[in-house]
Amino acid sequence: MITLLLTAASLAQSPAAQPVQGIEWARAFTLDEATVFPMRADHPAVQSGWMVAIQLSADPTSMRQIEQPVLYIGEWPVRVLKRTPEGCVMGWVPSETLLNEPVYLGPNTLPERVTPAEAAASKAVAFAGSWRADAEALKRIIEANPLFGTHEEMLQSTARAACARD
Amino acid sequence: MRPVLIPLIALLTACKGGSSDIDKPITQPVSCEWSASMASVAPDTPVGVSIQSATGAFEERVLWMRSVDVDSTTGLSFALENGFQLFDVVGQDLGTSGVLDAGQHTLFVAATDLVDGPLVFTPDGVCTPESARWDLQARPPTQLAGVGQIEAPGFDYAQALNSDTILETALSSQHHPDRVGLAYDAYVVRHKSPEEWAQDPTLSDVGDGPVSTTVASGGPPANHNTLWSSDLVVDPGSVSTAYDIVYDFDQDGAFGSGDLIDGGAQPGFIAVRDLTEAGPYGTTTSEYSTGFWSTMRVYVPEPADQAFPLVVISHGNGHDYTWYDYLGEHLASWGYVVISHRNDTEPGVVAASRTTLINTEVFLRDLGEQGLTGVVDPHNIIWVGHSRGGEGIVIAYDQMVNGSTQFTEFISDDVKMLLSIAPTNFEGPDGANPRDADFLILSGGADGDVTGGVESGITQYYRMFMRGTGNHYVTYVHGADHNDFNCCGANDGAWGFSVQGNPPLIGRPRAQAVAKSYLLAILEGRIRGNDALLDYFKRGSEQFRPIGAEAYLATQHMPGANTDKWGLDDFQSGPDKSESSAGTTVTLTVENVAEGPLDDDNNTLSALISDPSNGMTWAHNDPNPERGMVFDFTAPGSATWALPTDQQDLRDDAFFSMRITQGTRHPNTVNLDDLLSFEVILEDADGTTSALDVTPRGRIPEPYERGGSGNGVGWVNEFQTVQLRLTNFSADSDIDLSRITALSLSFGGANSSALGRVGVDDLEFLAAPLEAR
Repeated sequence: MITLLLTAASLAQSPAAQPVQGIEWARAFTLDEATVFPMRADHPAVQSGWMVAIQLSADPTSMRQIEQPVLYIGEWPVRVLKRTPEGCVMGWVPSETLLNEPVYLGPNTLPERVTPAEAAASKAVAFAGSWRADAEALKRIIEANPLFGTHEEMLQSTARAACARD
Repeated sequence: MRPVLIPLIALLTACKGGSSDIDKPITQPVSCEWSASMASVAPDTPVGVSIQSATGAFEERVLWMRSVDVDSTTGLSFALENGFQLFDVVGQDLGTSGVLDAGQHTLFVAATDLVDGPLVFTPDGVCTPESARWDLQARPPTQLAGVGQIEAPGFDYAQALNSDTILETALSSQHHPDRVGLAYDAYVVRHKSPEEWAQDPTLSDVGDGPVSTTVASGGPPANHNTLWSSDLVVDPGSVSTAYDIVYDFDQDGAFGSGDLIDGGAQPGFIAVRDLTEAGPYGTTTSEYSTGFWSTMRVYVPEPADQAFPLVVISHGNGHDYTWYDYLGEHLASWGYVVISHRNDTEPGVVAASRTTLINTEVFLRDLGEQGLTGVVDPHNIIWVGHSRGGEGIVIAYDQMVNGSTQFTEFISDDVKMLLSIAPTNFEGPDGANPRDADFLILSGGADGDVTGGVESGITQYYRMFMRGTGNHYVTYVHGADHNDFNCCGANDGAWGFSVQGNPPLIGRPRAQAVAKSYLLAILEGRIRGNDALLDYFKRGSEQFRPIGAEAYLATQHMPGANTDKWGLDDFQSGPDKSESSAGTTVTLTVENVAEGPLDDDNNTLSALISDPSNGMTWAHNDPNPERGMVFDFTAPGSATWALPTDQQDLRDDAFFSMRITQGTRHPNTVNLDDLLSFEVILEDADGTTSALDVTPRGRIPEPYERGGSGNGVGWVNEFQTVQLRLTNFSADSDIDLSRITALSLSFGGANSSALGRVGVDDLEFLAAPLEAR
C-alpha cells in the first residue's frame, strides 16, 4: 500500500495544477435496475449516484487517445458522457454523497484499468488540495427532484446538463 | 490461325532391294510422303505452349492451344509426354500416344502443367525424315502490359494501371524465343472471358492501335511499344475496367490458337480511376438510435438494389460519430452501407470494443425497422476504427474469435476485415490481436496524439500486427495528423513538433483523399475480389499510388500465413548474422550489421551507436518480438543469402518480397536526405546474375522530417514493401530461374544510393496464380 500511495502521489497533479473549478450542477438518481459501472477495473454493479456538470478551467482529459488524467469525485472516476470546448464536463458517479468529496484529476491511465485500491490511493493524495463541495455549495447546485428511472433516462438527462458559462 | 507451313522434305524412299533367298518371305517396302508443321516453328526447336487458362468447352480451351497440321500418305504415330495433351478438331482427346490415319489432320496441343516435354510424329513406313519432334515448353500466361523503364529489364509488368497512365507493352524474347522474327499486330481490347472469346474472337482495338511490328531479339527493350497514349478509359460507375492485350501472330484480326494474350483467361490489366471520385450510387444519410450508446449515423447507397457489405466506423476518444461523413458518403457511393456509431472510448479501449460489437448487433437486428431488409449483407462486415476505436475493433474481433463474447446477429466469420486509422495500442500485441483477419493500419507522420513514436508503447501501433495471421497492410502518410482523418478534431499536427523539424502538414483534404482512395482500394480488392487493386500496397508508392492520393507515402503488404510462400529470412530464428532463418549462409559486406528485435531501445529517436534499432516500433515490451536486421553503407557492399538447395527452382514462385526502411536520424540517412535506392540480384548455378534496380519500381522513403523525441530530425522508421516479379529477372537475361543459388541486396554501387542506413525484414518468395506471374 505504501508503494501504491507513493506512485499515486507522484503521478497525481498537484493541487495548484488542478483545473477543477467546481461542480455546477448535480442531481441524484436511483435506477430501476443495477447497471455496470465501466470506469473501474472491478466493474461494480451500481444503482444510484449523482449526475454532475463540472467546470474545469481547461480540459486536459478531452480529445486525447493516450493515457490521460482521470477525473474523480472521491473514489469514483467520473463517467463522462459529454464535454464542451469551454471545459464543462457532464457525467455521473455512483457515489453515495458529494459532500466534501474531492473533485480532482488523478494519475494518467485508462479508467477501465483503475482498481478500487488505486482509486482510494488517488483520493487520499488529492484530498487536501482539491475542490470540495461543502453543505452551502451543495444547496446551490443540487437539483431538487431526484431522478427515478432507467439507466437510459439517466444517461439522456446527464447529456442534457450544462455548466453556467455555456 | 493460319499455320505457316514449313514442309518437311518428303522423299519417296526406294525399296532396298529384294533378297535373292527365295525361301525368305518378301517384305513389301512401305514408302510415304508426309509433312508436319506447327505455326512458324520448325521441328527440333523449342516451342512455347501457354498453360491452359480456360476450363469450359473445347471451343474455349482451344484458344490457348498450339495447332499442328500433319499430312501423310501413311499412318502416323504420335507420342507426347509430361502432361501435354493432343486434340483433334472436334475436341477429342487423342491420348498421349496413338496412330493417325493417313490423310490431313489439324491437331491442337494443350499444356496442363508447367513442364517441358516432347511431341513426336513418326510415319508408319520408311520415310524421310523418319520422324518430327518439337520440344514443347509449357509457359505461364504471358505478361504484356506494364510500365516502360529505362533500367533493366526495361519493362515492369503490372496488373493495375492508373487511368492517367500511358499504356505500354513489351514481349520478352527471352521468354518467347520461338517468336523472334515473327510479325504480329498488338491490340488492346476490352477483356473477355474464354466463353466470350469463343463466341466472338474479333479483335477490336480501343487504344491507338493495333500496332504492327515484329518480335526482335534483345528482350523487352527491343520489343516495347505504346498501345494507348491518352487516358485509359474506365467505365462510368466502375472503380476499374479490365482489358486484355493480344498479340495477333497470324494477323487475321481475331484471337486464336497460337496468339498471345496478356494474363490468360484473367484480365491482362485493369485501368483504375481516381479513387477519390464518388461512385455510381446516391447516398441517403439518416440517424438511428435505440439508446445513448447505440446511436449511429447511417449511410445507404441509392438505389438500394442489392445486399451491400456493411462498414462500421468506430470513432476515437473525444471524437464524435458525426465526424466521418467524408468516408461514409464516399463508401456508400461505391455500394457499401456504412454506419458511424457513438463509441464509448472514455473508459478505455475494451469499453470501445464493446460498443462496436453492440452497435453492429443493434443495426443488424433492426434492419427491418429501418426499412433496410435485404439491403445489407450480414456476412460481409468491415470494421473501421479511429484511434482508441482503431484498437477497439481489433479487441472486439479478438474476443469474438476466442469465444469470450458472442452475439446473435453475426459471428466472427462475418467480419472480413479490420481497418484501423492511427490506432492506439494499450493492450499490447496479445491483448489486441487481429488473429486471422485482414488488417490495415492507416496513419500519419504528423500525428500529434497517437504519434507512432517511441515515447510510449501505446503509440507503437504496429505491434498489433505481431500476433495476426491474416494479410496485413500499411499506408503511412507524411504530413497527416491525427484529426485529419475526421472532420472536426483538434489541430494536433501543431502539437509536439520541434521548430527544427517544422515539417509540412498536408491538411484534411489531402489526408482524407488518401484515406478514401486506399480504403476503397482495399475494400474493392479484398471484399469484392478485384485483387489487382492491392498493387497499391505492393508496388513502391513513389511510383504507383492512387491518382487522388497526393501525398508522400510508405506502404506495406505483408502476406498472411495462408499465403503460398516460403521464407528466406525473417530473422526470427538463427540469431547468427551469418545464417538465415532458412538455415543458409548469409554473406555481409555492408557495415555495422546488427540483428535483433525491431524495438527502439531507449525511447528517444536520437541516433546512438548503443541503439542499433533506433526508430523501430514493432516489438516494444514484446516477449516474442519481431526481429530484423540493420546495417549501413558508405561504399559498395552487399548482403547475400544462399538459397536452400531444395528451394532453388523459383519457377513455381511469382515474386520476391521484402520490407526495407531507412534508419531514422542516422548520419548516413541525414546525409542522403533523399529516398534510397538499391539493387536486388539473383545468381544461378552457372554464376549468371540478373539485377533489378528498385528505383523505377519505387525507392525507399526518407523518414518524415519531424523533430522532437531526442536530438535530430526524422520520425520513426517507415518500412516499404518491395515486391519484384521473378520473371522480370529473366525477361532480358539468360539466368536460369530453375537453379537460383543466391539472392543479394546490393548497396552503394550501380543504381544505388551512395550511402545509407537500412533495416530489412521478411525476405520471402511468394507464389501467385499463374495469370499473375
